[in-house]
Amino acid sequence: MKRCLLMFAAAAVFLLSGCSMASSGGTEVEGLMLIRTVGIDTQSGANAEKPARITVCTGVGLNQTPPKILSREDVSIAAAVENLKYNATGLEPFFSHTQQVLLGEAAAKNGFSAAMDWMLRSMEIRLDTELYAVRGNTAEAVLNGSEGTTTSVSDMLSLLRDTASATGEGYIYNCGEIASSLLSNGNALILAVELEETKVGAEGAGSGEVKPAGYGVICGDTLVGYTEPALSYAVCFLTNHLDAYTMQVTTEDGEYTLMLKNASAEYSPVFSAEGKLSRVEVALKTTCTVLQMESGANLVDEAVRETVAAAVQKVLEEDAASVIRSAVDMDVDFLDIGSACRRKAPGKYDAMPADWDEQFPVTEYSISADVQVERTYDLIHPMERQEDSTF
Amino acid sequence: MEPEKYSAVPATAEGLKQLFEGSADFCSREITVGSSTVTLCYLDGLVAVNSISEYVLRPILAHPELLQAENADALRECLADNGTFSAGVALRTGLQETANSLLSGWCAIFCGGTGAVVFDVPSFDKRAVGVPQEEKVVKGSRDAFVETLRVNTMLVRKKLRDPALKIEEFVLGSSSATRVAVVYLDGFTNERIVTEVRRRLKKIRAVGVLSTAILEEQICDRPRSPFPQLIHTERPDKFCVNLLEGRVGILADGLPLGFLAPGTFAQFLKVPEDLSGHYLVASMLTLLRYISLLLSLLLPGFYVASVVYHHELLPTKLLQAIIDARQSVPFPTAVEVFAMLIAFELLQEAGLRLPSPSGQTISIVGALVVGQSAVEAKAVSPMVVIVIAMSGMAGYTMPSPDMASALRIWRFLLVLAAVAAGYYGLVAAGLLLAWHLCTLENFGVPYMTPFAGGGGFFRALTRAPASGYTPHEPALQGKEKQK
Repeated sequence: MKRCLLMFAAAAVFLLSGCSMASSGGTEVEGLMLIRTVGIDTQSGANAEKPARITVCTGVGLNQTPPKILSREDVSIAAAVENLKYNATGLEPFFSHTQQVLLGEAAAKNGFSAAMDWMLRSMEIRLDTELYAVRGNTAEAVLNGSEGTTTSVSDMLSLLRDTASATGEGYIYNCGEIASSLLSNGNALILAVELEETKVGAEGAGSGEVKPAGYGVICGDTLVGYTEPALSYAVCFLTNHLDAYTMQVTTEDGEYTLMLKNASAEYSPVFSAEGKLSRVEVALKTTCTVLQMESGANLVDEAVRETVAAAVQKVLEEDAASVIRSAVDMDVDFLDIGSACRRKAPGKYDAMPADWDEQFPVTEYSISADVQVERTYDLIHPMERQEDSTF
Repeated sequence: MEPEKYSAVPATAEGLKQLFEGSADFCSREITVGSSTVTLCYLDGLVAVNSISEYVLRPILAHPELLQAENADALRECLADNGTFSAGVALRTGLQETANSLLSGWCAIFCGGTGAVVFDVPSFDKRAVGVPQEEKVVKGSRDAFVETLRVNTMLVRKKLRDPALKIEEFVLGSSSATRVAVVYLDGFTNERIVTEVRRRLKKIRAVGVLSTAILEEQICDRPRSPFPQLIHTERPDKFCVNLLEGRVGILADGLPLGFLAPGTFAQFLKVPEDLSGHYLVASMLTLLRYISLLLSLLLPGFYVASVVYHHELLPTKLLQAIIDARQSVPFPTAVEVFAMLIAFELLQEAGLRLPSPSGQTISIVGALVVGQSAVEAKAVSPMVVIVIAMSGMAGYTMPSPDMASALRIWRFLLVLAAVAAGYYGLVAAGLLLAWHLCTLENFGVPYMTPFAGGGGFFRALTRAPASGYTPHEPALQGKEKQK
C-alpha cells in the first residue's frame, strides 16, 4: 500500500509539474492562435523569389476582440506557413479549426494544384474545409477588408455557408469534394466570392463585405472561367444542390414572388439506332409556393396557377440553357452531365463510338421544366366548401 | 475477558461475581425462598428491573412448590419448568454461557451448587423506529433499521411474512459478543451463497464487531478494491426487495444497517424508488444514473486531455471560449483541475463533518463565494469550475455513497492519466478500470454481471412494467420457489 501511495505521489509530482507535457507534446490552449480562414496568393514580378503568400485570419474573440490577421511569403505555401510561427503575438498558429481557404484569382489560375496539394497533405487542414476563389482580387485583400473591425471575414463566410444553398446563392464545395471531383472528372466547381465596398459608420470602418460572385470553374489545375452570379441558382439546380430559391416572375396578371423547393435535375441520354448519342434530355422538376403577388388573382383557380407555373418554367429553362451553354463554351463539363448519363444508361454510354469529351460540346441538350405551383391559402379567394368535401 | 478461559468452568454465583468484579453495573441479591437461599444476578441497564420484580421474583416468592422444595436441584428444576411468568427461561451450566446470557439482557438465579436458571428480561430502552436519514424516501415505507437486532429482524419479518424467511444468528467479536443474523429466503436464495456467507462470518476473528468495516472487509472477496462489494441500506423495504432477488442479508446488533451479499455493480445504481415510480420514468432515471456515472468519472479527464492535447476535437466556438477563459489564469490546466478537484473534496468533507446548518453554510460559502472569487481573481477559469461542478453533481446522483467514493478515487487517477498522455492515457486508464471491475468476483458472482455475462442485461438498465416484473435476479441463479 505504501509503495502504491509513493508511486501515486511521484506520478502526481511529475505530471502536475508540466514535465510530462514538455515530453509528450501537450500545449496549453491559451498559447494557440485559432486560425479560421487561410488566404493563398501567388506573387509574380518583383516578388517572384518568394511566390507563395499566405494570409491567415482568426475569428472575433468571444469578448469582441478584433480578429488577428498575419501574412507571410516564401518559396512555397508550406514554407510560408512555417514562417507564421515566428510572429509578434507569441502564439502558435493552429490550423485544425480552419473553416475556409480563400484562393486569390492568380493562385487559382496558376497555383491551384500546389494549393490543393498543401491542403490535402496538411495534418491540420480538414477535408471538409470550405474552398473559395476570390474573383478579380487577392485573398489577402479580402482578408484585410475587415481589419480593425469586430467582424471578420471568417464570420461572414460562416454566415454565407449557413444561408447560401437555402437562398440559391451557391453551394459551397469543400476540399474533399473538389479533390474528388478533380480526380474523377478532371474539373470542379468552386464558389467565387468578391469584396464589396460598403462604407459603414462615420469613419468608414468595416468597409468590406464578402459576397458570392458566381462559380469558378477549375479544369485540370487552373481556373478557366466563372459562371454569372445571377445564374448561381441554376448551377445549383442543375447539380442538385438547390434547397430553396426565391424567384420573381411576371405574368399578364402582374408580378409574383415564389419560393422554389424540392428542386431536382435529371439527365437522360437519347441514343440513335446506331448507338450514337442523339441528345441529352434535361428534366428539371420543382414545386413553388407563392410568397407575394401584386395582381390579386385567384390562386385557387387551377388555370391561374398553371399560368404562373408556365412563367417559372420559361425562366428556368432559359437559365438552365444559359448555364449549359457557358459550360459548352468553356468546353468543361462542370455540371458532370457525362457521369449522370453513364449512370442512366451505362451499357449504351460505354458503347458510344466517340468518348464523352468529344461528344459534350456538340451534343444537343433539350431542357424541360416541370413546375407545380402549390395551392396556397388565399384570404381574398377562400376555397368554397363542396358538398362532397371531407373537410 | 478471555472467553476460552471460562468456557469449561461450571456456573456458580461466586464465579460470576468474580468474573464481573469491578463492574459497577453488575448487581446480585440473595433471596430466601422457603428454606433455601437463591442468588439473583443481572447487569443493570441491560435488563428491565420491573420485569424481574413482576415476572420472576413475585412468582418465586408466591409459588407454593418452590417454597416447599427440598433441595437446590429441585428448586432449580421447578424454576425452569413453571415457577415464573417469564416466557424466556433456560438452564445454564457453564460460567461463560451464563455470563453471555447476562450480557444479552437476561438475569440469572443460582440456587446453590452449580448451574443457573436464566430469564429473558431485556430492557426496552432502545431507539424507536424512525425515518431513514441517509436514504431519502419519496414514495415508499418510511421505517428504518435501528441499533437493536431483534427490532430489525421484526421489521424484515413484518414485510416478508413467509416461513421461508430464515434468520440464523451468530455471535461475533470476543469482547463485543455482537449478535449477527444471516437472513435469507429459503428456496429463493442460492444455497451456495448462503453457505459461503456463513463460512466467512464464522471465520471472522475480531475483538469487537462495532463498525461496518469489520464486517465488510472481512467477508468480501477483494477488500483492497475501492468499489463496494456489499450493499448496505438502512431501509427494510430495500433489504427485503434484495432478499426477494436472491441475496443474503446480514444484520448486526448495534448497527442500524442491513448488509446484502453479493453486491453487483448494477445493483449499486438502483434505488428502491425504481419499483415505486412508473416503469418508464424508473428506466429513464436508471439510464440517467449510468450517464452521470460516466460524466462524473470521465469529464475532468476528458477536459484536461482535450485542452492540453487534442484541441482539434473540440468545436471551434467551445475552444475559443476556453481560450478566452484561460487567458489570465497563471496555472497549467492540469494543476488547475487537480486543485479544483481537491477543493471540491475539501468542501464536501467539511460539509459532511460539520453539523447540518454549519455544513450547508460551508457549502454555500465554499461553492458560491470562494468559487466566484477565484474566478474573478483569475485563479481558475470558469470552464474548470463548470467541469468540476458538473462532475461532482453527477457523482451525487449515485445512490450508493460507497460507489460515489470509489468513483472519486478513480476520477483523480483518470485525470493523471489524461495529463500524462491525453486520450491515450484516458483510454488506458479506462481499460485498467474495466479490467479491475471485470475481475472482481463477489461470493462467486461476477461483479459486472450482467454486463460481463449472465442474464438480465436489460433488467440492469431498465425496469419492466409491473405485470412482467419478477423479483428474482437471474444472475444470482437460485432455484425459484414454486408458489
